[in-house]
Parts: sequence; C-alpha cells; structure tokens
Amino acid sequence: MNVLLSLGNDLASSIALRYLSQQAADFPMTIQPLHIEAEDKHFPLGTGWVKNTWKDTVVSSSEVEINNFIHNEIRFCRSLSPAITRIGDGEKQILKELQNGNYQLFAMGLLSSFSSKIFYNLLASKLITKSSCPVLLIKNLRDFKSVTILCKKGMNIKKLAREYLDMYGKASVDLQLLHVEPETDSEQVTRSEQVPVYLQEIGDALATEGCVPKILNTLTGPPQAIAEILKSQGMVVSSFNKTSDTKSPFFDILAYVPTPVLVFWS
Amino acid sequence: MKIIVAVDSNPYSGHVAHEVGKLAVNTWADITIMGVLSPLEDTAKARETLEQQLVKYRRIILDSYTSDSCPYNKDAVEQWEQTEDGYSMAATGGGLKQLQLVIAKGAAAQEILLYNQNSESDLIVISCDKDLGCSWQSGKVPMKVATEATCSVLVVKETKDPEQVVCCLDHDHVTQYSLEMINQLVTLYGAELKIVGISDSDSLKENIEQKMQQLLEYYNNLKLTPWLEVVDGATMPSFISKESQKNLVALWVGPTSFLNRFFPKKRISSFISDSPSSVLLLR
Repeated sequence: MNVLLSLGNDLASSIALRYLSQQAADFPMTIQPLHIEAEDKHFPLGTGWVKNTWKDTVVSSSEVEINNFIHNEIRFCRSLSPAITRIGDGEKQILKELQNGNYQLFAMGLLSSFSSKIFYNLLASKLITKSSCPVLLIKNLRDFKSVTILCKKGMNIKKLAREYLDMYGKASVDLQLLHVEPETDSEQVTRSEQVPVYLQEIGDALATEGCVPKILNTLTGPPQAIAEILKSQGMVVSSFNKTSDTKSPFFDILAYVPTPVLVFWS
Repeated sequence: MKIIVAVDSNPYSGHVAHEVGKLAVNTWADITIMGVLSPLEDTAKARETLEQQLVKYRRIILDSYTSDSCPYNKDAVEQWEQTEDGYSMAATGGGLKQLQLVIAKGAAAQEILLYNQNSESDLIVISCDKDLGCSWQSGKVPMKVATEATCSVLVVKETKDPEQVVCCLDHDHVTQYSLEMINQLVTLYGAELKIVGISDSDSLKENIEQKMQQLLEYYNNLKLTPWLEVVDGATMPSFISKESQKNLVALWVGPTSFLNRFFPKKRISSFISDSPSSVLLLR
C-alpha cells in the first residue's frame, strides 16, 4: 500500500508520522511524506530567474528542516521514502500529488477536538471533496491492535469491506463490526448482540477472506458516548458519501472519537 | 514535597486520609494533618474529639504502607504540645519524613491559609461534602482555601476513582513540580492522562502546540501515552463541565495564568462546587 502523508513541522504531523510508522512495522506499506511550504509565508519577490532561485532556496531549506523533523521523531522506518517538498497552496499541491502518484491512502494528523466543526470543515474542504483517495485522520497516538468498522443502514457496506480488505486485510488486528444507531436524546449506550442481516453477511464475507471479526454488535446511544467507547480502538473505519451525506449524529461519532479515523468514500 | 491535609471531624475527611495515604506511598512527602477548632466550639470535649480524629487519620495514612519501607515514625502519638504560634501539635520524630498533627483555633479557611503561608507547603489536600455543595459543616472552607491559597490545592470528592486526569495547561508556566503532581495522580488512580490545548477560534497558537509536543515527549519517555485534545477557549466552560463528570480536572490558576481569563475566582468556586469529581488547582 502506498500512503501519502501530509507533513508539517508540528504536533499533529509528529503523531501521524509515529502512528503510520507503527502500522508499517506490521505489514507492507510505503509512506511518502509530502511537505508543503506556503508560498505567501515567504513573500516572493521578483519574477523569472530571481523568483525561481528564491523558490529553489526555500524548497531546499524546507527539505532540510522537514528531514530533521522526521529524524527527530522516528529513528528508523524502512517504509519511509525521502520527503517531497513543494512550495505553493497546500490543498492544490496535495491533490496534484495524489493525482500523479499511485497512492491508495492519504494520511494526515488532525488533533482531536472538543468541537465537531473542524472535522466537518475538513470533509467540506476542496482537499477532501476533490480527492478520491481514502483519508486517514490521525488524531492521537494509539497502538494499532484493534479496528472497528462502523456501519449504518443504507451505507455501501460491501464496498467498504472490500476496500478495507484491500488495505488492511493482512494486518493482524482484532476486528469488530458495529451497526450503530445514534440517539441524540438518550443518555446511555446500549450494546446488543442482535445485528441486522447485512452486518452478519458482511461479517461472513470478511471471514471467508481470512479476516474474522471478533465482535458483531449493535450500539445505540448518544454519539459522544459511543465515541468514548470507541476510544480503546486503534482505528475506526467508516464510509462517507460526498454527495448525499451531511452532518449527522452518525458522523458526529467520527468527529468526536479521539482515535485515528479512516474514511472511505462512497 | 510538603502536604497539608486539611480535615474536620466529619466522614468525608476520612476519605481524604485514604487518598493522601495512597499519595504518600509514592511521594514520601512531609505531611501535616490539620484540623481547626472554631472559637465557638473550643470545648475540652470538641478538642478531644478532633484530636482523636486526627490520630485516626494519621493511622489511616500509616496503614497505607504495607511494607517496612514507611518513611514516618509509626509510634503512637503520646502527647499534644502547645507551640508559641498558638497551635496544638503532635509529632513523633525519628522518621525519614515528618507526619505531624496540628490543631489551630479560629476561622477554618483563614487558619489553613495562614498555616500554609508559614509552612510554605506545596499542596493542600482538602475534602468536601457533596451533599453540602462542597462545603464543610462550618462553611465553604474548601472553596475559600482552593481560591485563596498560594500553593496547589486538591479538592477531593467522595466519588469513584477518575477514568482520566484532564490537564488544561497554562502553557507558559508548566513547572516540573506540576508535571510530577500530575504523574502522581495518574499513578494513584491508575487513570489515563489527557492533555488539553486551548485554541483561539480553532487555531492552536504555536507556543501552545510546542508545549503540548514537549509534554507528549516527556510522557512518552515515561512510557505513558497521553490523549491530546484541542478545545476552543469559548467552549472551555462546557468542556470542563463535561469532563468533570467522570474525570479529575487539573487547572493552572497561577496569578499570570491565561486560564484565569476563562476561570475567574467566582467561576472556580462554582466549578469546584458543581464538579462531581475531584479537582486539582495548580499554582
């Protein structure tokens, strides 16, 4: 799996880099760090040769800075490619790299937030709406030992399961499949072993591929409380339909859960 | 480390003695268990009752040491002495660390604050009764001590152990002592640690982010993986209110702390009063 990792010299990137390195130690993965230096930060002067020389200088000094950052964060990760450094608009440059490169996943650090606004703003951003690559939002540093696939009725769960298998099918993690019915007016979360037929079918399909879910449950309750329960997971996976899905209690769970979240697009 | 354990003779103070006992096992702190008699109740019987309670709390702390490694002299308290400052004091010398009992006379909060000032203690641990709105029977002593003290204050509530210790950092003034205090609480309760960065309109200031990064490294080196969360300053009160339902909230409230912007004295009082969990105010 080829992963494009957006990297800055900041806390969120530090967490993202360390989390991905941990995943890479478990199964084959190539991590391509991409650092974008904002153009307006350096107030470019001149045109032509002067401007190009200035850009080259900024890129090379940023390259040194970001490589130092990587070496400070992790001692060695054989899956890590040398960082690419570009200058310009962050979203445009990432989209360009995703289009030109052969990436299966885009990863970035996104510090966990008390407000769901940051998560929804990201879903509405050009970076997400124009990219077809699944996105891994790394909110905290967690052990990658357990994964929950979060499902709801009407979701293209077969596609989600297929995509998950393609990426993480070889990972040795405890997998749980959850059908979730968020209730904003309730106070407690109830867990039931009664699951809808679709979830059972997907569980069986995953099992035939050698990826046996350990738990199949239905969770009912307020989104924040469900997110709290899921914080023990190493990663939470779900799917978002860019054309029809909007802010909802189901996606609030993904916004509030403090563990890394992998979002596929349907 | 010097700790004052402020108690009265009510059951909620017994709970605090157990908590301090657990804290003492890790910290080997010099401990003063302090009770205050109000001038109105200063009868021989009231004094004797308080003396007995203090001796009982001392025993609870000593009993926290299951091995022979207790740094305090375990001998029984034999007599109380009057000091020049007007305190009634009982101490058994000979241990590596001090565990003494002190009874003052006067208004409880004022006397605790005065003793703290003179003894230059690092931490006051004080209990409060949930049913009385986090007060003592003699008044709102815990709140007054918590807001007026010049050192850190741990207000202990009789609840089950917190799931997380939530540190809302004043990122300009994080001392090694504060971090160690947090570590002690994390160990004491076997809780998870959450480090909260306060953002301004969703953007995290560079110095705050740097401090969070340093803390993450510090705790990672101690084999702890703290949770990180960003909270917008405007939503801080509702965040704290939510977190205090299950978790112990630690707030920096020093004189130059920017958290004072969100938590002025009045709000701290009501926060302590309303919080179902224990609260740590760091200075």
